[in-house]
Amino acid sequence: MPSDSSPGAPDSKSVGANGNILVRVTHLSVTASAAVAGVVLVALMFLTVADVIGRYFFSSPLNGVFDLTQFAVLIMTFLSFAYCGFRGAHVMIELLYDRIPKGAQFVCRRGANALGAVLFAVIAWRSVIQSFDVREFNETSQLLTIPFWPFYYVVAFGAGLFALVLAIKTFVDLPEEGDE
Amino acid sequence: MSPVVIGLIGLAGLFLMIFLRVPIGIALAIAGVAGYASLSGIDTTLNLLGSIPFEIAYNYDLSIIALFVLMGNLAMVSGMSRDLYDMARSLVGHWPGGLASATVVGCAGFAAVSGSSLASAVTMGRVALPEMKRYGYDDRLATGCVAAGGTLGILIPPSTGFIIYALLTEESIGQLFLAGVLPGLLLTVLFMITVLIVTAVRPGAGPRAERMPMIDRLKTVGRSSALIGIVFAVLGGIYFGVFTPVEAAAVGAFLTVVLTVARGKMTWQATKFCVLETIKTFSFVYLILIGAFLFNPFLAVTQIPLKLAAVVDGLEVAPLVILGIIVVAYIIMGTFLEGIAMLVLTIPIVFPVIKDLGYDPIWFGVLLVVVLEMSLISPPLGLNVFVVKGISDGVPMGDIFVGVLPFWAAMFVCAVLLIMFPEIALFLPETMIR
Repeated sequence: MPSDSSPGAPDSKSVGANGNILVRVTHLSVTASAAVAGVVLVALMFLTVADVIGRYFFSSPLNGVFDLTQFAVLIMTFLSFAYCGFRGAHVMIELLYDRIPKGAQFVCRRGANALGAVLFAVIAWRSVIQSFDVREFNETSQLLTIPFWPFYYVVAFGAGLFALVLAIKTFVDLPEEGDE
Repeated sequence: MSPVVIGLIGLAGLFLMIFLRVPIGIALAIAGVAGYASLSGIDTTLNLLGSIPFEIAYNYDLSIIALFVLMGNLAMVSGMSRDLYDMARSLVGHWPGGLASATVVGCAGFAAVSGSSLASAVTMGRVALPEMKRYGYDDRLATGCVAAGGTLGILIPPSTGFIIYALLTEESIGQLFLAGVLPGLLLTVLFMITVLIVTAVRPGAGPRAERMPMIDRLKTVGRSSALIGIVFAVLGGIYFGVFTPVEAAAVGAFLTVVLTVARGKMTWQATKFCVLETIKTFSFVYLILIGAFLFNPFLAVTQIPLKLAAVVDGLEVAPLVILGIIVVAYIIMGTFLEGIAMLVLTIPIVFPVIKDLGYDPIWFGVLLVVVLEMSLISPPLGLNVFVVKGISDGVPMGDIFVGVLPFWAAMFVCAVLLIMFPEIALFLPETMIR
């Protein structure tokens, strides 16, 4: 869930600070990815506004904003999964979970992460495979004819990083925010 | 095993995983992938996993979520919730229970820049709860009106609920947004009537605040005028066909940035908070969506939605009865499922039935969101009640649930009115310029 942290609160839980090297490196990559996603978000906002202004005031809309928006969404989603996963911010329901013994909770929690890790590892792998086909058929965006295939690597990278975070969480509990 | 049986096993497994705290998106994806593989083979499934994530994320309309969530987060840090509350207070504060009514109006105002019910409740609650405490308001009324008022966040556009409904059903986001405006205002008025009724029964629950002189009232309205201007620019722009909902979202976010900078609230910390919170919300919504789009192919090959629609079709009862059953089912589900999850899980099954019955899909989207609002304050899992508890300085959970009860009834009245008079939702989308 969107957390209840107060506006402007610093990113206080520097999770990786005293973890092992793998956790720290992952934390760094996850944060860097989220930062790139954030930059893309802000750029998307300005780009769209510029397009509207161009259209109404200078009657010259920007070319290909439609395409760029779609690429921006793709980049934002896949570069943010791991960040969201690392901070434990994905939606979960604890209806049964709260009523089972601690040991079973442990198995469920770790098992869920293991399943997710496998799933996203497969998504990463299949995206790479898919990129070959897409490249062969030379699929591109509509207006700017930007080739699709490199973006399958963005999907693969994001899914892979998320799989790594989930794999780590299969073996250690990372501190999570806002246990509502 | 027949596909239907496999489908039912898949659904059972899905719910089991969800209730055992598997993130909803991942549970959907795993159940979908396993089920689809068992019915259509491993190879097709693997190809699906390579293509669907890209295809779903390469989507123009999805950018609306990111841009509107950004706008809501900016509104949160800009401190404009204070201005909104002051304005509402100067207008209705001297009524019986006036501060509670002002809270509702403030929530409605904030909902017009934020698509999230939780954010609306938290932001307005931080301002309004201390004020009501100072005037000796009954805890139940005070927390109840914040929790209930906050739910307006998903009814008054922009609304995350409408966006997800639109993505799942391929309906128009612009039409859904406009369809939410009048029902949102109606519900705001119903909430205020609720406050009046509560204070008529127990006058001590909500004392009147002092009446403000006209000049002060105008001042408070003036301070909120920039924000109100943004709301009109965004919704008016969609209504008059000046821009698409995506462009409206970008313009709204941009104007809110300008306003936040002008108020001197755009610190580096605030910027970082807004952007990262947006990324996080966006990511969790998208994870659920990707799960849904991996689950739906499985559901489709089991033919459960088709068969169910056929069964319902064969029933010799009035459509209204079936609609009533669906609404009641949603209200019950809402007590134990989270809203977005509920939408994603049920829309593929319920939507064909609704269309078969001849109901308007835009209208049904609005009705559904009103029902989702009810679920946000229903025990035992009403999320808004939890967040209000978090900011309420120790009001027991039980008291808050008692406090929201009259407002829950108001939502029910709103749903009934919507069913009786669909025009409340459909008037604006039908007259909009496309």
